[in-house]
Amino acid sequence: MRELIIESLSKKYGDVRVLENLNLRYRSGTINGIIGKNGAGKSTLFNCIARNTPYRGKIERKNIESIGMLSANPYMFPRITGYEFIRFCLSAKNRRENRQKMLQLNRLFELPLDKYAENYSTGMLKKLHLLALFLQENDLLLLDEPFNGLDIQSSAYLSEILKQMKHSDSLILVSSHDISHLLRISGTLTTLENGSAYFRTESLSDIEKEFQREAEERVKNLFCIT
Amino acid sequence: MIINQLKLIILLKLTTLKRSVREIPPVHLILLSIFALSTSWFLLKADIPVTGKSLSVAAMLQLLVCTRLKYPANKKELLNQYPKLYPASLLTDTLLTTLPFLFAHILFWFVAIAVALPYTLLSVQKERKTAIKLPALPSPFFPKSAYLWHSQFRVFLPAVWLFIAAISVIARIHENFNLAIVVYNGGVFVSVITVMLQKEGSDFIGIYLNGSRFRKRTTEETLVSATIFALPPAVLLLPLFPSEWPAIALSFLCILLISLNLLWIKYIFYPSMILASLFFFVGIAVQAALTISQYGLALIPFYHLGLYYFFKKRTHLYFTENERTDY
Repeated sequence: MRELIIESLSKKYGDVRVLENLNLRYRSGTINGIIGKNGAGKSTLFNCIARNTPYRGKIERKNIESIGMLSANPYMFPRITGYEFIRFCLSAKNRRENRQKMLQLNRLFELPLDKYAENYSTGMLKKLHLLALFLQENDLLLLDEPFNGLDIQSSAYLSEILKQMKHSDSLILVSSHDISHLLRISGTLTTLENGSAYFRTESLSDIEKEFQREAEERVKNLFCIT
Repeated sequence: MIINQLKLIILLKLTTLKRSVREIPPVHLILLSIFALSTSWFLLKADIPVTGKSLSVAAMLQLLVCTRLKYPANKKELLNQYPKLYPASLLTDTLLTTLPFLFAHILFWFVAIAVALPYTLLSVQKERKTAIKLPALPSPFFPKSAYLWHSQFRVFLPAVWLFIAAISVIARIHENFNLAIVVYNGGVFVSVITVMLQKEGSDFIGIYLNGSRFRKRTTEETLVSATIFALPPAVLLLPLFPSEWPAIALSFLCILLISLNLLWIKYIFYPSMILASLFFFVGIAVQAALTISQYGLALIPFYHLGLYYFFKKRTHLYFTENERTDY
């Protein structure tokens, strides 16, 4: 059983407080969705968990040795092919290359792995990073906006792959603005708002209705005033 | 582990280099090779004395180069996912930058390595502070590079001014105008180059709509920027050395001309900043060589006319080619 225990986590950039006294607990075997407005601190939370940025508080990573993270805007080295990138990532994590598994996964994503990855579209680049992450078999997977830029078919494949992965005792955290996608695959849903976080238990239709209601009210008020 | 990661990074860099070299047009490749060979030859043949002063200069130069090595946030995120990959990558980059010192003297190289190693170690440990609490004020002087001006150079330029001011006061005490004017020219020159040799994206250039508008606006911006860089320290120098006003005025004019020169060269070779920098420095050396005789001196205006011709041609082509690809 892998566990991620976040206690009194706070993070600020200069004077701007992004996360304030966060207390969260995630276990392996489920996909954990994270939602929040732009700038709510989803990426910052992931960066804290991945030890990419200093923070205040405690993050305990029980039985978690390797972390894989897909950033919202993934980087690509110039002049290397998709296949070379995957091999580079596997070697950097000291993992053996499983060519058969790679080809099987790529049958879903249909990436031109012999072409320079820097010329890939945003969605293709994201799929390449996901492919590299899935082949590494990390204990903890942090996926920041994985559905952004992906076509409908690839999004569906990604959802199904993640569902399969949760059975392999991986701990998966996924942030997305696509709530319907997230609710379809997530076992828990965390909302980040004004620096704090809370778990949501409502159904998809209830959450969607709440957002719709808030939007309608705000827009109405705005047009009434002006 | 670090050895394995270093090996991976070096292999990656070699692959990238090999493929990048294959893509450089032959003419540019010949120019680059000539420049690299002549620089190596110059460094090998130049009899640079190994003294405490020269070693300190080497250390400072290496430190300056190291501070210019910056990784974008997403690259750091990617490298940080893999054990020791970020330190391995940074170490490779900083050590690569020490190589030119090897041509000058092995002691300079040792000094450069002695700077590069602790720099890498400290950079890996230290998280850069995100300075978003500082407001990015809109500037009427830097419409093109307002972001660069405010976020990256708001500390750099005042620091250069302060440095020039301090040295000028010391020079006044010792009545050494040469020291003051050398520091003035050197400081402002470095500021102009550091700020101006920033690469803009092609979409950013596209907002100027056409070539003539682009040339007019960039010329205005360059002259205003160069004036801001050069005028305050010049105003400070005048009361300190009032009798030397012709030399100070001439230096100020030279800075303006050099800025224009840099602007033209930058867009002749756009998007390659490396080729532009090389040509700029070679151009200065050529102009310096021409000033030796009066016949050479007469050729300098033609050199500038030639540069402006190519600047005009390239910028015109840039906008017309962009127009065609819109269809």
